[in-house]
Amino acid sequence: MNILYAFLGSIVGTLVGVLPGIGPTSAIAILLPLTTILPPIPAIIMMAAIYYGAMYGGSTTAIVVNIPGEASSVPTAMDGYQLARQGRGGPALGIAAISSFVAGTLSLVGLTFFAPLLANVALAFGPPEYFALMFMALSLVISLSGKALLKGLIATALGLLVAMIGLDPLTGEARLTFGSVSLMAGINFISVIIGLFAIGEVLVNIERAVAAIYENKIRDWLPTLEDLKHSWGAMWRSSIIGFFLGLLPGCSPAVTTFIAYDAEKKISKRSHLFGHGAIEGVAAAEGANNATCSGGFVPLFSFGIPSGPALAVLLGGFMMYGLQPGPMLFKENPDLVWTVIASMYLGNLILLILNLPLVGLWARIALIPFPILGPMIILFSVIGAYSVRFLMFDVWVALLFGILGYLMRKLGFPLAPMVLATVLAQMLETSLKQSLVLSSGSPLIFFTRPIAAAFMFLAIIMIVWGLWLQFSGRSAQLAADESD
Amino acid sequence: MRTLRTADMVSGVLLAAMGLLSVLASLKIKGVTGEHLHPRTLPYLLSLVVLITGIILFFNAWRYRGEERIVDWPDREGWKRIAVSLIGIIVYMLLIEPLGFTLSSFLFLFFLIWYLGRYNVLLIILLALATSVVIYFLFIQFLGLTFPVGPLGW
Repeated sequence: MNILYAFLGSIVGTLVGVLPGIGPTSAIAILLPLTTILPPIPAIIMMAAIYYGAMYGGSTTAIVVNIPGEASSVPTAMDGYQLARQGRGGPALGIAAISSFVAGTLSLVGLTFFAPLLANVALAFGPPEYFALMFMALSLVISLSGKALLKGLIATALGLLVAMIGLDPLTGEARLTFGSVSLMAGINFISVIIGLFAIGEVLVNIERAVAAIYENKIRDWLPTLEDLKHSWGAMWRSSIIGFFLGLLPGCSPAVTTFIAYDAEKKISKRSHLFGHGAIEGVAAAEGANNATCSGGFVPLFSFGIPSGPALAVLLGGFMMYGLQPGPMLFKENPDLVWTVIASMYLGNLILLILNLPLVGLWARIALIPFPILGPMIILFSVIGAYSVRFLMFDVWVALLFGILGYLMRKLGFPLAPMVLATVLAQMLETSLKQSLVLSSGSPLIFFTRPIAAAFMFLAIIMIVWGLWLQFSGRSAQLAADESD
Repeated sequence: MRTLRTADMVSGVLLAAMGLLSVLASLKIKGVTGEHLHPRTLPYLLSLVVLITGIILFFNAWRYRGEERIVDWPDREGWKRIAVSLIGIIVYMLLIEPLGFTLSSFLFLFFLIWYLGRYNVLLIILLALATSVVIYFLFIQFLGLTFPVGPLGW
C-alpha cells in the first residue's frame, strides 16, 4: 500500500512541479492538504514522494521552456535549454532523470547511516544547543543572500516578526494583534509560503504577458552512451558535494547546485561547452540538486531542523500529524522513520522508471499556455491556503504575501530567509526561553556549553564571511535571490 | 521608484515606519514580571532590528553613487494586467463565501483565462467548467474538505 502512495506522490509531485511557475516549495504547500486524509505513515511517504517528484519536475520546465521554477534549477536551465534548442531536449531530460536517481540513491545511503548517528548526538542536545543550531541555520541563509546581505537580514527579521503575531507560546499573551481577533490565532506559515512563492511568481508572469512558451521539435528521446560517458563523473562528484553541503542546516539546493555546477565546469576538459549545451552540466546540477534534498533530510530527521523552504513546508506537514521530527522520532517511531527512508529508495526508482518513458509527455505538459496555467495556480493556492485551517483569513494572508513576494522579487529581497525564519520562529523562541530558564536568565549559556558555543561561533564566522563576500563583490554567482 | 536606489530609499522608509509602529505595539504587550524572557522582549528586539535596518537601507541607498540600476518594473500594459488580475482575485475571494467555492472558482477561472488569453469563449467556459467540476469532486466530495458551499449546495 505504501508503495502506491509513493507512486502517487511521485506522479502528482512531478505533474505539479512540471507546471512552470510552481517550484517544489509551492508544490508541496499546495499538495499538503491532499495528504490529510491519510494516516501518518502513508501521508509522510506521499509528502516525501511529492517533494522528490516536484524537484524533478522543476528541472523539466527548466530544460524544456527555460523557466527554472526555483533557483536550484537555474544551472540546469543554462545547459539544458541550450540542448533542447539543439533538439536534444530528450537526452537532457533523460540525463537529468538518471543523474537524479544516482545522486538520490547515493545520498540516501548517506542518510541511512548519518541520520541515526546524528540523532544519537542530538539526544544530548538541550535547548541551548537547539537555539544555537537554528541561529546558525538562519545566519547561513542570510550570509548566502550574497550582495543582498542587508536585505536578507531584513527579510529574516520580518519573517520572525510575522511569526510572533498571535499568542505568546508560553504565557498566552496577545502580541502584535492590534486588537484583531483573526490575528490572535497567528499567521499560518503555509499561507505565507504559498503567497510568497506561488502567487508572487504568478504575478511576475502575468505582468510579462508570458504566453505559450515554446515551440521546438524534439529529435531524439533518449541519451546516448556517449552522453552517459560524459556525465558519469559529474553525477557522482555532484552527489558527494550536494549531500555533504546538504547536511548543513540552511544550505539549500539553490546554493549547492551552483557550487557543483561550478566545480564541474572547472575540472571539465570541455569547459567551453558549459552554458552552450554541455550534458554534464545538466548531470552536475541535477545530481547536486537531488543529493542536497536527501542530505537535507538528515538534519530534518535527526534534529527536526529544515534546511530550506521546501523542507520547512514538509516539517509543517509532519507537525500537522503531531509528529515532531528530531532525535526522539528515532526512539519513539523508528518504524515510521525507516519506512519513510525505505520509501525514498523506492521513490527514486519509481521516478526513474516513470520519467524515462514519459519524457515526451512532460515536455508537452510544460507547453500549457500561461493564461490557462496562471489562474489555475491561483485557484490551487486558494485551496492550499484555505485547507490548512479552513479560514478565509488565511487566504487573504496568502494574497497579501503574494503581493509582498512580487515586490520582494522586484526589489531584490531574498525570499528564502523569510520563509525559514517564519517556520523556525516558534522553535527558536521556545528554545531561547527554555535556555534562559536553565541559566536563570544569563545569555552566556550559549557560549559556555561546547556544542552550543561551536554553533554560535560558526554562525559568527558565516556572518563575517557574508560581509566579506558582500564587500569583495564575489557573490554575484551565489546571489540566490529566489532560492528554495 | 525607477532605479533601485530610489526603490531602496522608499522601502527603507517604509520598513523603518513599520518597525517603529511595531516597536510601539510591542511595548504594549503585557506579561508577568520576573520571567527570564518577557513576552514582549523578542517582538520588541525584532521590531528594533527592522527599524534600524530600514534606516540603514535608506542611508545606504542615499549615499549610493555607483552605476544606476534599473528596477525591472512592468510597463503600462503590465501594470494594467497586474491590477486587473489582482482585482479579479480579490473579487473571487469576496465571492467564495456568498456564492460557494465551486461557482466562484468557475467565474474566476472564466474571467482570468479570458482576460489573459482571449481564447475562444466556448473553449474557456469548457475549461473553467471542467476544472471546477473536477475540483468539486476531488476536494469537496472525495477528500471531504469543508469549503464554503453556496446557496445551491456546491
